[in-house]
Amino acid sequence: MGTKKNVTILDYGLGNLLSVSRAIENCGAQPHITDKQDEIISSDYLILPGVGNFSIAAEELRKRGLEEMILKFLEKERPLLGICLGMQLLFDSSEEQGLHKGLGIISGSVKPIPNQNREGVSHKIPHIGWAPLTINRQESIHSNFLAGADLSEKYFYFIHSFQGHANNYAECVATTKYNEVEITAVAQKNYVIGAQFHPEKSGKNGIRFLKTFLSQ
Amino acid sequence: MRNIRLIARLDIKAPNLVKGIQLEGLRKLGDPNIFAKKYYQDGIDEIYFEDIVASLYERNSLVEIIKRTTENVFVPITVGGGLRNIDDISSALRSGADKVSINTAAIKNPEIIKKAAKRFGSQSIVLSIQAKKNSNSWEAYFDNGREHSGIDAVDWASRGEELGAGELLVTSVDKEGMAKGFDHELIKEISSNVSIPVIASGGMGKLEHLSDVVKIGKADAVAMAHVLHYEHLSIKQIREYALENDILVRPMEE
Repeated sequence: MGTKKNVTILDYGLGNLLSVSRAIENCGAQPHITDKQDEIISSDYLILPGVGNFSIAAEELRKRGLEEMILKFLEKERPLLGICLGMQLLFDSSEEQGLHKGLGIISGSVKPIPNQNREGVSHKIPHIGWAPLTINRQESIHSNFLAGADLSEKYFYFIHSFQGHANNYAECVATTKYNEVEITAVAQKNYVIGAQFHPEKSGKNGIRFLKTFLSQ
Repeated sequence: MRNIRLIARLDIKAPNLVKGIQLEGLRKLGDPNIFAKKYYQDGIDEIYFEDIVASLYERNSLVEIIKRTTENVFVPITVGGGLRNIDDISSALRSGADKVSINTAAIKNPEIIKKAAKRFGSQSIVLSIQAKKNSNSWEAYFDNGREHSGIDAVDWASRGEELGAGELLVTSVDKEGMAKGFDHELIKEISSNVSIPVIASGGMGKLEHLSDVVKIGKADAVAMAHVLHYEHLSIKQIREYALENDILVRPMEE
């Protein structure tokens, strides 16, 4: 087996799993795409990918018994990364096509990105494109996993129509802006991290972000 | 402000990268994976693969090319050409594509956009519109610009948004491969009429064309082929020009 870190990429039928897997390989770790309980539980790291519709994804996770597996994995304080829709699923609820229950790991909710800024200037939705990170350096945040990483003002690829709002702003560890509207880019609660952007699609900085996650 | 995306468009006639003029008269240029990797390393924002013969001969050939691309290309990949149904879309997305673009199948059966958006999310579904100018309007074409639909391209764009497409790829058949500039009137007409992002395609020949299609045409993203494949412009040059001309793009990675 060697000494490579084992990274489980949760397969629940959604998301570009192959690209996430390739990016993890590129970081020097060993990816496993699976929905099998024992593999998830014995893994060093867990990635919850996902694109598409919140309620369909939440339902798939429950139907496959994976919600329980995720919570079980977290009992041992190992790192979890939710990507895009996978990040939104970490919150309590989402307003995408009705009100739907999430995993409730990070306290907060998922709401649509407003279609204009405060000055009334409108913009296209979905928000698709590369945008720079602003790292939240509030003193109340002791454990921002990005604090030591040199990713401030680096560009990442976003594609989304909804965004997470953490109830505790200290859990919003990085933001970006779209037409002056603030977007939660990275949320973190202890070992649980959510990235609204796609690190596996964000070039060299995306790989650096994943390496930072894998060094936790 | 919005950041404009720069997209490399690679037309594929498997196993080769090809380039034509007005979607015809194809020339073989080489291994598409080598081109994709180079564009990634040079800092492109996205890669777009179009299988230009698939819809005509009803076969898929891109899956292997996409899988190989994901080994060393870490930017979004969109795939189009000959995707006929939900299974085709699913296999493209499972092979490493982030988005699929659909033209012919949507003209024949618009409901495929709705179904696909529901299943895979709007952000994965790009409606591809190939438009050709008539006297004072544009008509949507399909089968890679060979067949006309009788549908008004601007109306079709709005309909695509209603059906749930997350993005529109608008190619001017008249301007494609000519390197004489985009049809920015077409792009403007469509972009100002929808609230989803519009990718302009067909016509990039020099730096000023980028400025015109973004500033006059209101394009949200710009696809280019010719100028990159023949190395008339480098991605670095294009980015520097954009930033000097108040077009927001991602700066070069160190």
